[in-house]
Amino acid sequence: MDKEKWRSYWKTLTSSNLGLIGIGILITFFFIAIFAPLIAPYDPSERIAPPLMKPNGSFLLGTNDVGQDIFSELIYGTRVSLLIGIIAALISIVIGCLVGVVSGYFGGKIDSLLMRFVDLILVIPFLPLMILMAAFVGPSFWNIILVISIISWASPARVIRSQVLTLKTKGFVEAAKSIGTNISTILRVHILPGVIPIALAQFVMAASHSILIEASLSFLGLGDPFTKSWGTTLYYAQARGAFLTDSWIWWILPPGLLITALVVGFALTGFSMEEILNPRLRKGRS
Amino acid sequence: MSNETMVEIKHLTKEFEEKKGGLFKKKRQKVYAVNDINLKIKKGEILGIIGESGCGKTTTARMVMRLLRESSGEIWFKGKELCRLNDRETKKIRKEMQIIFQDPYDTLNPGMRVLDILMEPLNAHLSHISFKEKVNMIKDMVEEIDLKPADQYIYRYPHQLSGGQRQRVAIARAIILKPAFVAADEPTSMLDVSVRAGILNLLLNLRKRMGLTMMFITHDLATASYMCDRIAVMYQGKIVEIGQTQKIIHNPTHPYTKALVSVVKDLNYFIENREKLIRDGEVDSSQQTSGCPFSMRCPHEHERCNHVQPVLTKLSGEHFVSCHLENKENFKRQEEEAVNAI
Repeated sequence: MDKEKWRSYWKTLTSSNLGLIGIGILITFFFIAIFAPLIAPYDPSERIAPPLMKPNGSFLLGTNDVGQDIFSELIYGTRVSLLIGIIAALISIVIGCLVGVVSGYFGGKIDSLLMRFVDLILVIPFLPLMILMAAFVGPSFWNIILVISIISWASPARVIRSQVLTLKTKGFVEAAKSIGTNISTILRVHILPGVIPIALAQFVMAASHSILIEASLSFLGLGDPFTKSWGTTLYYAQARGAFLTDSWIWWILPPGLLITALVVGFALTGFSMEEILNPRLRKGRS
Repeated sequence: MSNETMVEIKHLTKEFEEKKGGLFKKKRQKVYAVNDINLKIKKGEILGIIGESGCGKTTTARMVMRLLRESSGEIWFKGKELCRLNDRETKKIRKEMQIIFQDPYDTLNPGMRVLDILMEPLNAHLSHISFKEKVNMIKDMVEEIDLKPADQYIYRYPHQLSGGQRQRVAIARAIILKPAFVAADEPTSMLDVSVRAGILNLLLNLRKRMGLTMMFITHDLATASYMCDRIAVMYQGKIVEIGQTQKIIHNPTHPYTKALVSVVKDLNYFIENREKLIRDGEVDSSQQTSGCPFSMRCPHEHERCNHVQPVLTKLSGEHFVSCHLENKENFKRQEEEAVNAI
């Protein structure tokens, strides 16, 4: 049944064109990230040409202010953006799962305490808080991940809690209780399997959020200036006045499009994943 | 059947609080789901609890099974007071008492095979025996509940079983640890009529073979009379009549029991004489009367019934009823007392 179940999930996931496009985009980006050294023509951290060159045959998108190849920069940037997005999303989903399951299953005072905490995080205007925190902990790869996960575990926790609330009233949970199964086994055997699909969809959404947040932080100059991500490329472009000259076409537009494409890819995948979880949204492929 | 008592319930009460009113005028109203009931279940006996939906039968069973905390009262099982046990002792006692739930579509985890479902109680209580032995126990159990051959069934998922087969699996899960006491909460009400008899006979067979003591909850008097040695009739959280099945069927005394019995015995008679047997309308259980809980639907309503709560009184042997009309002496005495008090 399990195999069958996953097969039917895969079918719904790929039954809509949007889902297929989303997955296609994601696979392309993963491919680029993994094979970055093969695709990129130059080392992005090496000065190999005169600065501020226009695009030409050997430098597809020209060079930046210190003479590095922008195309190679973007290819390697895929790695950083994807990695930060996925690690941050993973951390926030794990925290969200933990909080959601504990809060939903045990209820009572623990629940209201945790949920008020979630409210607090959801209510704080998140960009100022993030800027503050990013400035406070200092710019580095891991600090960015930390800041993103601190902000984004709250809404998955909410969603997962509500799922746990419906699961725990199911007859088989009560039966397990009356049998005398201990709580950890009930959580592992009966609750978690019902939560995992939702957590997966939340993970995809959180990943796209994290990528956006990383890009905005880096653009504002709060990211690690020495890691090449799309956000830092934008930051340097803006700092060198690329908006004021023609160079925005090859210096600002491409990273912007890449960020948009990746986020859209994640979002489309997430939407069709939601169709799996909420069968009422499902429609046959016509 | 011996005279040894297996389960004894004393003054068991469950009240739920209902919050009413707005921000400033908060009112708390108590609703009694189970109101001061007393019961004894003898070893090897099947005690039926019947009553309409919402009368507190399931709540009673869930309290006995320690799935719900009581508001007050005591439950004695094998010389232990269940309400005072801590978690660890409760877990131990769970091995000896089990519940069969109403809905076999809800109580089996759809993602688990029959083998895993039946493994759950074994893992919880018999951690010392090997996996292979557990599988053998499960195979024996599955054959016992008439799913033969066992090898064909234990690797199936619940959705590959019919409703009756699912309920058999649920029964197997309840009795695989060989409990002394089983509560069956309307085990056949979600099943097709055609498979009901099979499940009931299975329970009767198991009782014969394993010497089970059972609390059998149902809203169907016909099922109860087929299964039970004694029947307790509940109305609005109270036991209104209790006695041997024969007595209840042939000599119903409480007006509510009379109505129930006449429906089963002769439906035409019931329909023709409906007003004489029971008055229509559902009663809002939050409306507390100081008198008899049945007074609002009772065809013989008497002035006294609205003010004085009747108590369970012995009619004969083990037959008890709680109705003013049947306890005339009591009734008169109380009336006099009331008059004197004024």
